Amino acid sequence: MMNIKSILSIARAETLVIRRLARYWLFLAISFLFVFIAFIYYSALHGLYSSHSATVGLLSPRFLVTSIAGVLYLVIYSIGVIFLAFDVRARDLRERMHEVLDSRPYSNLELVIGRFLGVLIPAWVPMLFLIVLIQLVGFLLKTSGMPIGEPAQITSLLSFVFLIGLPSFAFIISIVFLVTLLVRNRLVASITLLLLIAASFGGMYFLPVYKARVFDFLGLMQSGYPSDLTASFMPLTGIIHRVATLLASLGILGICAAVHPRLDDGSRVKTGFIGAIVVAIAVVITGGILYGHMKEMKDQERWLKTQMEYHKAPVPDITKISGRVEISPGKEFILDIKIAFRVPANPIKTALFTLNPGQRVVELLDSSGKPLSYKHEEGILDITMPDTLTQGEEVVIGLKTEGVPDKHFAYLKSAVNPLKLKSKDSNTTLLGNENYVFDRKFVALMPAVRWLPLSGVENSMENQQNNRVDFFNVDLTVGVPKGWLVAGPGRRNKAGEDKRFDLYRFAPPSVVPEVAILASEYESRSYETDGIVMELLVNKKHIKNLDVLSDTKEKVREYIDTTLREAKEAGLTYPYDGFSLVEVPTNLRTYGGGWRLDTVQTMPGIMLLKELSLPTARFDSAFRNPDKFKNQEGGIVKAKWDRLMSYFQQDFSGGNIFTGAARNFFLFQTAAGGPEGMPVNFVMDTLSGLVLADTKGYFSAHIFAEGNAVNQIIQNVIVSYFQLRNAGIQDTILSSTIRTRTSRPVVWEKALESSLLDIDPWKEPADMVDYLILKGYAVADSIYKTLGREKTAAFLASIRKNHTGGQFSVSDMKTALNEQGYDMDASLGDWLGSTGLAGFVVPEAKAYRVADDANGSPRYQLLFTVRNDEPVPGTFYFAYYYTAQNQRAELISGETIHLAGRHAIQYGTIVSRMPTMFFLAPVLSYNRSTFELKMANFNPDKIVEAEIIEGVRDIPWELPASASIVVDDLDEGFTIVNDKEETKGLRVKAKAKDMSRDLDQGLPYTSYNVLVGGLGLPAEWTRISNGMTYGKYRHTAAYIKRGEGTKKAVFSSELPQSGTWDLEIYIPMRNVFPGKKWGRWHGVVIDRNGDRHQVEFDSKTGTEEWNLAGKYDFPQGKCTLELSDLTDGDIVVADAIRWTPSAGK
Amino acid sequence: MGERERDISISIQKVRHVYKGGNPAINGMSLDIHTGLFGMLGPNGAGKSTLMRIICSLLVPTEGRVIVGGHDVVKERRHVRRLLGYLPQDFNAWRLHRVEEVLGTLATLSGLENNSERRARVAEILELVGLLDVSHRKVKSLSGGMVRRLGVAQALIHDPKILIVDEPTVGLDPEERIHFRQLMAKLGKDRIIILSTHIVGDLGAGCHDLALIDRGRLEFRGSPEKLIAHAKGFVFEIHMEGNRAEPSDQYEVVSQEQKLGRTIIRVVSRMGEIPDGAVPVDNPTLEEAYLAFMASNSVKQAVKGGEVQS
Repeated sequence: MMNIKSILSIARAETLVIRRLARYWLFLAISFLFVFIAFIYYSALHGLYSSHSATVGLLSPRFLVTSIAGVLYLVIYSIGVIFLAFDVRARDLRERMHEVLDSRPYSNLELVIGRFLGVLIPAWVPMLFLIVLIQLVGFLLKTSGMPIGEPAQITSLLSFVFLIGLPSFAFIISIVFLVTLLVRNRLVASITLLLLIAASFGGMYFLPVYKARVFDFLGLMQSGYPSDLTASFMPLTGIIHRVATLLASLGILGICAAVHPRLDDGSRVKTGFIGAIVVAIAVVITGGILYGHMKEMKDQERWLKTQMEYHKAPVPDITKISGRVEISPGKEFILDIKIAFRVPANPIKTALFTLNPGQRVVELLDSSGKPLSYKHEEGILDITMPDTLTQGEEVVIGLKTEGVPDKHFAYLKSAVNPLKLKSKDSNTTLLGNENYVFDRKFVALMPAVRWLPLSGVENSMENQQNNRVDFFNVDLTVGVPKGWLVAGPGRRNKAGEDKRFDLYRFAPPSVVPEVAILASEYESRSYETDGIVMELLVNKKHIKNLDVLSDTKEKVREYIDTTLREAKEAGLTYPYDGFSLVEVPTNLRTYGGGWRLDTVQTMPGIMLLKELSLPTARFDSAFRNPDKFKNQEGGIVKAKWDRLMSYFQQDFSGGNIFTGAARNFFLFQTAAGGPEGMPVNFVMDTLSGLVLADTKGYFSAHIFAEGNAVNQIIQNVIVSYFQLRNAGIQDTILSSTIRTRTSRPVVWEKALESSLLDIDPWKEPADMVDYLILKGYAVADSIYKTLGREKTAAFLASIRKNHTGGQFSVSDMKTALNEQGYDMDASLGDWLGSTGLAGFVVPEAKAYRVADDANGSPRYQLLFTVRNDEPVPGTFYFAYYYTAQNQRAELISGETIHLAGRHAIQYGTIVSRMPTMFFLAPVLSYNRSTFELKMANFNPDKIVEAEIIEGVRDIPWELPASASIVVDDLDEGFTIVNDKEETKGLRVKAKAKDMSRDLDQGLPYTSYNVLVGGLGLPAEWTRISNGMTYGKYRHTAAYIKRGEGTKKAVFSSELPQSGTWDLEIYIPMRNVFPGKKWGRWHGVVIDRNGDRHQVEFDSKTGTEEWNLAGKYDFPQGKCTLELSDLTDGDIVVADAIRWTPSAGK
Repeated sequence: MGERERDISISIQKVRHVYKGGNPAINGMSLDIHTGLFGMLGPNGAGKSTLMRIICSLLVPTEGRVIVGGHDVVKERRHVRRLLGYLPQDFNAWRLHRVEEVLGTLATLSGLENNSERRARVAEILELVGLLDVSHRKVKSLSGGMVRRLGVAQALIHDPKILIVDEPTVGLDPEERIHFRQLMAKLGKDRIIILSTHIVGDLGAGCHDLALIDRGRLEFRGSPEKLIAHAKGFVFEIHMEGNRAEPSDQYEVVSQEQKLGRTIIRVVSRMGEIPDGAVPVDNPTLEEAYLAFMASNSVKQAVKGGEVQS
């Protein structure tokens, strides 16, 4: 029997010592400091920016203070604990106290536990102070009217202190004790422990989540997202893990007592054995968690395999699902429905459905009430019909199930399994990990768990080969606990109540492809317009923003009413009788499966609002000072409205309400099937968003599965955004994101490798998403820019009208487009089945002044010649950049022009003021991005008497004849040599693997040039993509900072004949590299015979064009220019060189 | 147990202890110790501390048994430790603790669990060892003597039946030594005190039983008087002219005194022979007796070992 007083006395003594150690206070101060810096940083981030984008809200310190700040405390203090606990024996020896202590009548176990508590208490108790302090600071910041800071969510704090902190410290201290008792030398022990901790962190970082969770002794991966909506304090597995960690600590302490050098009564073997048994129990428990995770994955694999086995079975076409759903939150789920289905093309004897294996079928009857024979295994409900059913026959069956759906039966085939992701990449947690929620405070029955039978087997819309969507009508009565509100497909109609439930009926007037039910004790705000109930359902704790934004109510209604009315007028009537914006806890998984990982926040009649988005964003901070908006156009109401609009548009976590809601109008009514279904549906969905909300979105959970790459993505997006902003061009984070993501060389390489019909999306699916977006948006842009909003709406309406509840084909699409005046083949070619693209060249761009207009204002003729040198048609438009003193710069887009393959046009337009710069913006071509046009010299005062040319005029297409040989940095003849060792393309071999994603034809690349000046130049040859550099289609250059002359860009070419050749070097516009000093460049020209000719080129005095670098007599054959990194300036640029016979010059 | 504790004694039975390397620190020692101040004399390295640590249950003897208060020091450590107060030779205390905290903690660990009793006892002991004024000071600020007194205090804090003190007066000033001797004499009335020292004077008048240990063996066991008697004939006084005294290597000089221009030295003879002009001393001190015994013992050992040719 242990003597508690002895233990406490030892603990007290140990605590006294620890509290008097300078290092204790040092570690405490550092950890507190870091926590507060993190808390303030994230508070500032959230307070100031969460009203700009829902994605920022995901980092709310109110919910994540423990994850984002507490982790610092734990990490710092974990290391600190080593240096506090490693004195378990050494201090007594050092201070010659050990014999006095050893001769006292207590056991080693009492000694070790006492010491353990003595270290644990001073390590853990400050956490209590910390959370009180955080709450206090948060409260003071909030009540003092500061724009940042608010108290943290209390359960997350309690979880942090008791479930995360306590077991963590207990475990570390016990390990430190054990190691220091086994390894007596403190230095060796310290190093051993630091290595152990580093290995543990490293392991957790690099292991897949399901393994990392097991070794996560800090417990940081156990807590999940705290929530005001759900009741869970920590997931059960998390709690078990923490208990096991605590248990392991106690066991280790037993082992420590056994190996302690102090002589003791009792058997060391026995104590050690008991300790080992306890540790073993803890290991078994954690092993059980691991087993549980592995079982989840195995179950999913098995389910998927079963699904695949049934893949070719005939599928009934569900026409209607009606009946009753009873929800007893956290306890029971009863489904009592009738399924009406139509027999597909071939006669069937069995009807195949997918139904969650967690639901037990208790009754399955035919229309006459007779029981049907069935098999419900592995999520497949295989019903044997009494008679063979013939094509077109309609059948109704009754199905009753009991039991809660298995939460793992969802997204069976998914590019990302959150459990298998490496921890370092698992930012998908920010998008939630729970496939559905059935909590005693909240229920979210997501379609993906197949709580409602699905016809056939899993076959999402994005399945490439067998794309099929089953649209059906629903009439469901949902029973929820009294006082709860429920959202479903469309309007919620009160349908009475019984003893246990409030009953609500959902019977939308149009078909749905899936059904979601969400229920909780919501606060509701709603209004009705044109027979449609628009409703907002939020948790009662989260109505703050409703008050803050209440003065935008009229604008919101006006926007909704106008959008609905205009859609209706265009034939795109909102299909349901209600639309609900519903708050859901952030731990609910809101991204889908498949390779696409699209958002699932939008479902028929429902748009999900993450708890950390609008409900908890700091709109109050943004608008705490109304006077600030007094002098702004539209005042504070407009400011709030604008903020609200941009808030949703800049949601990159799947909650873009504009694109989400637009899906109801088209993709939830009809869809394209077959192999082309995925890209076609993407285009149609994009067009719906453009028509209804004039916006596109960008979301794929892949971004969140790329770990630290997210930081790079954010940096690229922001840089790209400010690059345009600095140039005075209006841009949005959204368009910057789309541009940045889709312009990556790796995406283009995919686009040039395989057509949309040939791609294997499962191979590098993240890049494939961007390929789909690149091409899909281009096609949608081409259609939308050509047809305009009304005609595009009419096109969508036409398809919907003819195919609601069914599928349409590409042929249907082309026909409908033709009806609106858009020839898809002529404009885009075979965009689905081919990788070919247009390639635009502008051989001539000129401007001159023509006669003034009737008012005497000047007019200018702009005249461009454009060739499409490729056989594929393409679309482009001109853009004109205007700058003027004291005026905001403008980028004006011209009309959309289609240019057939191997055709040329002349385009003329009259402008009243001369643009500063001219661009050609291809919608989709080998040019990849917008490039600047070089205008011929222009005299603004000279009026030219010439015919006014406006519009497009076909001219003969002809490739120019030239004796010159151009070698561009993208050409085959361009290589890089490093230290005399030639490597094709990439020369940083050692880094090749890691950098492979960031290579552009073998070279590291940068997609922006703003930082070229700011962050310094690269030490390796790097490719920059910029419209102001040379290029036939694509405009790029390689560049490097000043070096020692060992890193060389090599331009190789084949001279067709002997003679005198002019070597010209192309200097791009110098403002591509702002602030850089241009100097003398050095190179060597080597002819076929190996003769070397030194080249010295003054880039400083050269023009931003071709510049003569030398004349050489060369024999016919290979000729190379090696341009080295040696310069007296800052930079060497290898853009292009040109060899021209110099005869006659 | 109560019965056994009332009749407190220590029984050392054929104890042998060999450290790593094979040198026996204790070599087959048997000894019974009863209430009172028991002196354990011997030169450095004689095996005193090893024996002390064995008695305190801090070391397992290689052979033999030690019974303390009826409890085996190997099998019943907790019982043995309840009876013991131990001041090791190189005692120090947690540097960052205050004096009263050290005592409070050790008191609790020794079984004084009642808070008020413990506080009173701490104050009492601090008073006893003269540290009450510095009770709030941290150990790191104490002098060597104070730390030694704190060592005594911690050994006494729980009023043990057996007090084992190893070289207790190291670092004490003369006044403190006197005080310490008085304290030991007082405490020795109702408990066993084993006082291990190589400084004979530390034993004081309170010691009526002692043992001489050398090279791990018990060489003498008896009263101080018996030891003194044993030394007669081995202690001499030599009177020399001037202030230069150059006695032979054969003799151990115990003291030297200048008197009327002559130097008087007291020496212990190793072999018992009287030097020229020497006067045998009739009443040798305990220290002289100890030295005489040890000197003669070392000769015996040497003879045994064949070092000295007779």
